[in-house]
Amino acid sequence: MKDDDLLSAPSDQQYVSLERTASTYTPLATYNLPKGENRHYQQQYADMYFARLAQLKPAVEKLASEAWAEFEIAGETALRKDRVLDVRQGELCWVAGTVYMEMPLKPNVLEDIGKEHWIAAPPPRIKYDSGIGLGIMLEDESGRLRLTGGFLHECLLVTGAIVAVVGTENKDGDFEVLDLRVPDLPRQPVRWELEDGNGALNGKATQEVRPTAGKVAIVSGLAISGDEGDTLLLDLLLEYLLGECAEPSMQGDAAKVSRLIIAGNSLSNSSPIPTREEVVAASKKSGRKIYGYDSSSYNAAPTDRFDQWLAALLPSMPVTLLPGEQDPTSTSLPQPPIHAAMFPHARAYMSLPQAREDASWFDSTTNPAEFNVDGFRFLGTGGQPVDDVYKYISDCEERLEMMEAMLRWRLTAPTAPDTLWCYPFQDGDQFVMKECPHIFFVGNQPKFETAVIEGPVGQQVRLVAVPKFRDTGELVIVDVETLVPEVVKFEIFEEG
Amino acid sequence: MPPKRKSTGPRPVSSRQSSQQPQLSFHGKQNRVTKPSAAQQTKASKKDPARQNELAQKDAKTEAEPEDEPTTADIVIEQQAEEELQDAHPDPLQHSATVKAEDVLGGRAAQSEVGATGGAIGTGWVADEEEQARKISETQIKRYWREKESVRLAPRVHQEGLSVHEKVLREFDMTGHYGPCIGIARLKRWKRANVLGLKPPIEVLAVMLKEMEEGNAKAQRAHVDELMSSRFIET
Repeated sequence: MKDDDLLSAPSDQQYVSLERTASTYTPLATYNLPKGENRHYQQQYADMYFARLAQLKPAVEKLASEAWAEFEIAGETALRKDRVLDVRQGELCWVAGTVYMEMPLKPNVLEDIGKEHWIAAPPPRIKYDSGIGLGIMLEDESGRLRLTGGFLHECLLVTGAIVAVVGTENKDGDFEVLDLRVPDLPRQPVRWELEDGNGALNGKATQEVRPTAGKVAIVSGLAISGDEGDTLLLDLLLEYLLGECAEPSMQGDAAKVSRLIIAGNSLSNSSPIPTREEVVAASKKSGRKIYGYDSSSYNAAPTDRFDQWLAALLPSMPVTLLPGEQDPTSTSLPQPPIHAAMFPHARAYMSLPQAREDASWFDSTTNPAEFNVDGFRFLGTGGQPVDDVYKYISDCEERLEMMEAMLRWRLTAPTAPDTLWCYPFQDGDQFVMKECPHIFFVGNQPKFETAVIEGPVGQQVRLVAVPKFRDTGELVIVDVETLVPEVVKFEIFEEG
Repeated sequence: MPPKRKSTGPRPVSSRQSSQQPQLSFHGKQNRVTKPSAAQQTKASKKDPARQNELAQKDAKTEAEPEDEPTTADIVIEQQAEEELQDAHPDPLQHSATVKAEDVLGGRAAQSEVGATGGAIGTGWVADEEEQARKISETQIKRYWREKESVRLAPRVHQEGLSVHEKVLREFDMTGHYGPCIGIARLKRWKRANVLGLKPPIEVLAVMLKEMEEGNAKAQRAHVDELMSSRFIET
């Protein structure tokens, strides 16, 4: 750099400016609950289990009958039984139902209430397995059948999965399992199927040539808590995405990113529930009794920081925001979108509540969420379903295997009414996947992992486990044309 | 306070008469507050064993009076039944702004705002089940019921006082194949079973529509639902 550079008159030199790649975004309202008084909580969860079994039974029975049509042992073929209790001793047969796993260490609300009065609660368990042995049962509307057999140790099973098993009943009354089948992946839509279909319905001609798709950035676990510790990494991320940092080749890479998906836990501990001791201490200090939530202790710093961060990013890049476990929205799945009231600055980029079709710039969406980016179907969650499945499977740390199992069971939240809070669906279980996504991403996982799984009719799904940004500083960038992810890591070099 | 003095002089004429305020009395026949039904007879019948039964009945009656307030379960089932009733008799003057041409003409399933609970309320028919059900006559229903009874070895007991319609509906309630019958209106349950592909019998739908036409809103709630959510069950 010469000495005259900074003190010279403005020149006519044209500098190259980079344009961000555009993308087509279509949100789907799959997990939107009705508003206000149309939401009923009167019904029981038995309706949900019944609906789940009725929806998935045809699929699993079709697969099972194809697989076991010639299943023969000692000259005996397997017969299909309608109800779980119709199995007979010594008869080779197959039956389909819901899996129920007996885990005495599962959180039990009655035990919790009982213990609350007498002893301090034990620390939450990482896994529910008690070590005594698996108590797996198959259930349908007629009753429950206990399953045994060495084959079960190889299978990944959680309460709520729909499976078909073949075997025979032994003299103890337990069903010995010889083979197991799951519904497997549903039908995968062709790329651009939804957009072409909508266009045809509206009378527009289909576009033959679509522009090349760019990349999509996925991050999760920003965990903004309002203290100074999170400022630098967040700002680095912001500058990278805006193309303000690094050299021109990296800026070129950042310009190809057409959308940012934030997959849960953007805020940490946003609504802490005070413990009993804290409430007592607070009331002793101030003299007034504080019932329930004390609004004078609300700290607006985290949401303020997040809002400013988004408002700086949004003019340049569209964002999809999924809520997570610690975000300020309902804890029961499907979580409603984080309300526009939390984003006084960023809500200028949000669509109006009635005009759902416009939600293509800043889309605050539900958890789990399903949407189309550049024709490909994306399905993502904030991490709660996978974390819950993790607690059921003993001796297994493979999160990708659990994600694959969830897709093959066709359930976005298999443990839903049992150990995961959810809305009591009455007409149909909304967590049943009707269409197979092209990419399934899960946020707030311990580390970045990816794999591709294949379905029975040639479906291919890319699984992406997105790590927590607060702990690892990793940002996942997926190339939409090839669906291959890569990682960009942000680290602060601390001199020792 | 100055000590009390005993005064013996002639007292003025009763101060009550000179003042303008009326006299208040909290006893007497005009001011009765309690109902004369149960309280009066307790003393006598406690000793008389022959009247214990009467007493029990009267107790039950006084307890049953708060039943006039509907419970949350009642309200929800009534709401569901009303929605189904409205759907069965759509008011021609009411214009539904959300009905588009595609819904009526049967286009591709439109993306609805409330994707999570299966679309707008009022839908739920797969094909023309409603028209088919309305065409079914009483003789067809009776024939269906006779077939159902002939399958059993022994006749049904404790159902002498029920109409054929009520018997058909109760049998539909108790069939576990179509899901739990508690907490859901009967028509909604039929629609749900239909959408899930469980093929519920069309005669049951015919009975339900006939009951609705007669304005019998009570038939929308399963009898076991009323029993299970009753307040008189001992726990």
